[in-house]
Amino acid sequence: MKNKTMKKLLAGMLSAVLVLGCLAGCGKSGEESADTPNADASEEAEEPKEAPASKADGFKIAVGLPDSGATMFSLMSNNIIAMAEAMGGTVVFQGGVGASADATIQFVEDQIAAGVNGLTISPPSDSVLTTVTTLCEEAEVYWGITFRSIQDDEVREFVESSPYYVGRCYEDEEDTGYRVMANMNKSGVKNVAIISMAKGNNTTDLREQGAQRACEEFGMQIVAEARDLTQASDATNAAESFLTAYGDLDAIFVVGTTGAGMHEAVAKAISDAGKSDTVKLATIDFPDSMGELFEQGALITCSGAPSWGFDPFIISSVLMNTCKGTPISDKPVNIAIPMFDINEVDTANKWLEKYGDASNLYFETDYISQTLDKANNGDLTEESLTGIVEQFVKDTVN
Amino acid sequence: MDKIAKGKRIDLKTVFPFLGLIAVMIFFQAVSGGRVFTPKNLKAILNDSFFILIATVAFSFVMAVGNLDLSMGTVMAVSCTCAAVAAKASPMLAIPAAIISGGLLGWFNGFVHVHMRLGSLIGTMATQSIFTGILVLLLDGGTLSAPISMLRWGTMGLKLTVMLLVVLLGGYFFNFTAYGKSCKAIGSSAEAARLSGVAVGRVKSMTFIVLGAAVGLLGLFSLIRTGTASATTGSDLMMNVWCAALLGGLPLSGGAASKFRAPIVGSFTMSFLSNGMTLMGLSTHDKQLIQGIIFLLTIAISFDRKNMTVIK
Repeated sequence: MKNKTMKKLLAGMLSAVLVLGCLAGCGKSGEESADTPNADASEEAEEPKEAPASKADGFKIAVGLPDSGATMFSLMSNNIIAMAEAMGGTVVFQGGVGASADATIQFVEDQIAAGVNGLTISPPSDSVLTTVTTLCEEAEVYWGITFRSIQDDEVREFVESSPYYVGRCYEDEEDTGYRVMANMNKSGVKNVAIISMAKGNNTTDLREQGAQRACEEFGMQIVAEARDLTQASDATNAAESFLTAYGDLDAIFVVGTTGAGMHEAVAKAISDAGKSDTVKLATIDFPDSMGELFEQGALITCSGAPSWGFDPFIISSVLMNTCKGTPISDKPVNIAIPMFDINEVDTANKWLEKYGDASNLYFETDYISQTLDKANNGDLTEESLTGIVEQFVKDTVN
Repeated sequence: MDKIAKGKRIDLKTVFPFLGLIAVMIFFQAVSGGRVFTPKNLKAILNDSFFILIATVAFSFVMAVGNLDLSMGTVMAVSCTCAAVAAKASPMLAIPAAIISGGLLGWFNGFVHVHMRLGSLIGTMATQSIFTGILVLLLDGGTLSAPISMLRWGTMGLKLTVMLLVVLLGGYFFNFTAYGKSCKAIGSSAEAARLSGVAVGRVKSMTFIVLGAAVGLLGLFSLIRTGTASATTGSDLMMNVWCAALLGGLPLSGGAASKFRAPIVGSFTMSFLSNGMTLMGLSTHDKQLIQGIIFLLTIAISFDRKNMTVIK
């Protein structure tokens, strides 16, 4: 009897929830509906299929990246927000995404369900891209890749055949890995320990390939490695192990990391071991502490994009234009951003003045509106966008 | 505190999980502007709840005997990796590879707990470390990918069928078989169960094997879903499953108070909660914070302090 009463009570409550849910779902005003385009499938069904982009006036995109909380992440998000506002849309960010395949797919599914028109991801490996392609095609959501190229030919062919894939923006990682090692060689470094991401990560795999090429060319040697470290304390432990186990170690090379405070932790471990004069630090992607590390003499070379957030900024501009119904290209774009080296404190401080403040904008909003918005700049193409990128890099270097 | 309804006493602890689920649904439906109950979003919720529900159903047997398992995420990662390795020979081989490897690791957990007489918490903490070592060796510090043909297996129809089968089988074994009743009897009093003729060690081992096999199955679906086996596969599983089990009302002390509705209600509560927070635009870090607070509050409310002074 008690069970029956319970069942009746619960059935009644659940029914009430479903009715309330339906009422709440139907009760949106016209204005609210316009604010959340693509919000549900029933709305979509009423739209003509050939115009998924044009309905996205007031588009919404989502950017999913591993987020360590460093200044470069805030700088990236502030710039993409400014661009979205200038182009008449909104953007949401989700941290901790590119760190794992599960998190990447979950991000895509969640944001599709949340009704976005476009997605920017930084995939941890090529293998997740097939699923992302399928999910985005089914949901008619545009998407692009930042920081990563696609190494697997079969996957690349599959991804590029999708009409919802807008392209990728990345750096020449192999060459960067080579250059950092070459710079270290000039400083007399021969034996190197590396801190990198898990094998299978396209970015660090390519950087390591470049590093290996340099090793063969200059007679250098990678004597030890630590991977997939996410905490500064892990970096300390790894550095301490390297220093203890390899007495002839010349440098620790942070090839790639998503953790915050990793470089400072390594530099402190070197200092605590009393090896500041003999063991040096090198890295890719300019860390917030770059100026101090150069001043201390801990860091001897680093290489990076003009600004870490510039890759996602550029691919997001491509994505936003596509979502607005004014794509800059009828095929996926492929934009490589040149990296450059910083080897001394003055250049480091100049760079930090420019990009060490998260509120600095890459471009003024008027420029974004007039130049990066295809609706206002009919001449915007993949080639002209690449030209803008190259000019930005030149301005940063000079 | 009890309530009186129509002359019958209704235990608030029984109603609490349902109220929680309903509250979560109403809250997020309201704050998201009615975007929770859309076909697209319900599909996302089902996708999310697929992993939590299956693992929580299997975990409810472990909890019913009064045990816990810290290693399930790593078991899932190892199974996913075994499936990826087997799939290179033939995609169909991935199915037995995932389930059998999960079952074997579950058996090892049971062995450590029953034969080495280690508490499940400490035992599975140790085995988690061992399984992580195996995982790193199998992956060689990198990732493995699935053949593209396998990625087409992950249809919603298949997932719903598997979910339904697991729930039906789980419910049947939990409520209507000697095995399910033995689990609850052991959770209430292992000594009394032993004196009643229950093979306590065997039943306990079996709960770990069942959980391992179920998590192995999830490893297979993770491979189908992401196309990737990596060291981070299944990293969120344990926290989600523990939260779901406790939100659903499964007592940490196990025993007769364990009800099969708990994993179902708890899993959907977790999925609606996670999805609702995404619809609200909360970041992963915010979601983790809120999830942690809910986990803490749920334990504080539901922890049976009288019957359980030490977590086994």
